[in-house]
Amino acid sequence: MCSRLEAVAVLEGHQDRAWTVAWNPTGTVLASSGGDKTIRLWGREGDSWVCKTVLEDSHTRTIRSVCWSPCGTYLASGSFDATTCIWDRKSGDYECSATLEGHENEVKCVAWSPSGQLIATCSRDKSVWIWEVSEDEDYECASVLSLHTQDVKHVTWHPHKEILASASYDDTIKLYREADDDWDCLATMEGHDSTVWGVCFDQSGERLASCSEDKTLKIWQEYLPGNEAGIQTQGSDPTWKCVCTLSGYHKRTVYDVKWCHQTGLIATAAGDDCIRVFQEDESSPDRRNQPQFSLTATAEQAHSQDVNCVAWNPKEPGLLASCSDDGVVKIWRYKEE
Amino acid sequence: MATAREHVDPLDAAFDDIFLAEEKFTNQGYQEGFELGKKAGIEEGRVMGISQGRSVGSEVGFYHGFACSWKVILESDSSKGPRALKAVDALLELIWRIPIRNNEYPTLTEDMDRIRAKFRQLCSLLGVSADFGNTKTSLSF
Repeated sequence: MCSRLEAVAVLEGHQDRAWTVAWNPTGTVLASSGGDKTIRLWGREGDSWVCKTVLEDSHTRTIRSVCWSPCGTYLASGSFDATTCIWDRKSGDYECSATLEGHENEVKCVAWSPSGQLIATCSRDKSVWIWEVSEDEDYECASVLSLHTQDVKHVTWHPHKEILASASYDDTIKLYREADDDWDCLATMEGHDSTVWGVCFDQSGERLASCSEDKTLKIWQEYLPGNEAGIQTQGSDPTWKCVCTLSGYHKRTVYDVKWCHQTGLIATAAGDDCIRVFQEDESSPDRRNQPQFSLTATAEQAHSQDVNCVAWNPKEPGLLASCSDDGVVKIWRYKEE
Repeated sequence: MATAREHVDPLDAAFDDIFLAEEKFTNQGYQEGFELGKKAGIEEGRVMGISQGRSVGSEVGFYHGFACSWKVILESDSSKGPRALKAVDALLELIWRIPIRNNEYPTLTEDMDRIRAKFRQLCSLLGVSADFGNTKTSLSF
């Protein structure tokens, strides 16, 4: 271990568990949400970070997930009240301009596609919904996917293509893409021994990191038909294969994983109250098929309870936000030494 | 060639009948019980099949009626957008694929899940609540 995470700011304000943190596309605003049914927007003021706005009164239960649109004008929030709200900043203040209804119960995660045209939501009702944003800002359901056999915990989009990944309590990860007016499953990744809590693509979109209740982190590699490694594929679809499993680092469930698209660093949030950062070993002989990662930094007792989410700042390399069951949001700086 | 039985002493045979009586009656009783149980089991299975089949049939029938009615409405009224009509057609397509008669149908659960998902999408596009009190989220056997 040769680096460290230095705490930059401790942001207090949530009255209950803090579930997610999300940076806006320019990296200037951090949104956090929690069990107190509020969304807090934090920004820099001089050297310190302060709460600029509190968005409330739109959800009746815990706000489990928040996500910015790629243009930064909208914010989507998914709640245990089964709805997803779209917040709009056009008039200056944030206002809830649309509510997406359809899930039977708790919405667990919401993700805006890189094109800004699609929104994915997932729920305890085992389904993944894909919403299309029309030109007049109407949100139409493009597909309902009930392919997982259990609670769907997380959804995330491919960085360049319209491919969606979902992680579930059924221990699998699924990938989806559009096919003839509907969406369908493109690949199912099996390998974790327990609930998959988070998934995140790397900058290229050819790799995916996943974290699980089985205390491991797995790295999956995409193999296209006719690949040099001789991995079998079906038809024109790629095969996703686990090429690395990182175990023995986390003492409890790993709740979140984020792959920094600028630095390639992987950060994890875990139930052992720690935040860990992993770096790929660039000298490994076969980086594509047998990549090696090493732990470069650990923030021991980063929070006083479970760490639920981490997020790399999209513009400032090494700036990391985290939030926890202790209700606190923290900002860290990754320092190489 | 003489069989072994013919060489058995008649007295021995009489004693055998007495000594093996218990085994004989046990076997006889088992056989009778087995036949009765089989009959009762078939009847029970038939009743359960009727009840489960009725439940699936009534659910699919509901979606079918819902989809047919909306198809007529959407074909004369375009205010709901083209996607809703496509979803209706996709739902009908899925419903027609469910066989009415068969002995074995291994993909029933998956196909029902697809129908339910398409129904929920359609409800969302139409702006109607999917809760009609008679739809289920999964089959329970």
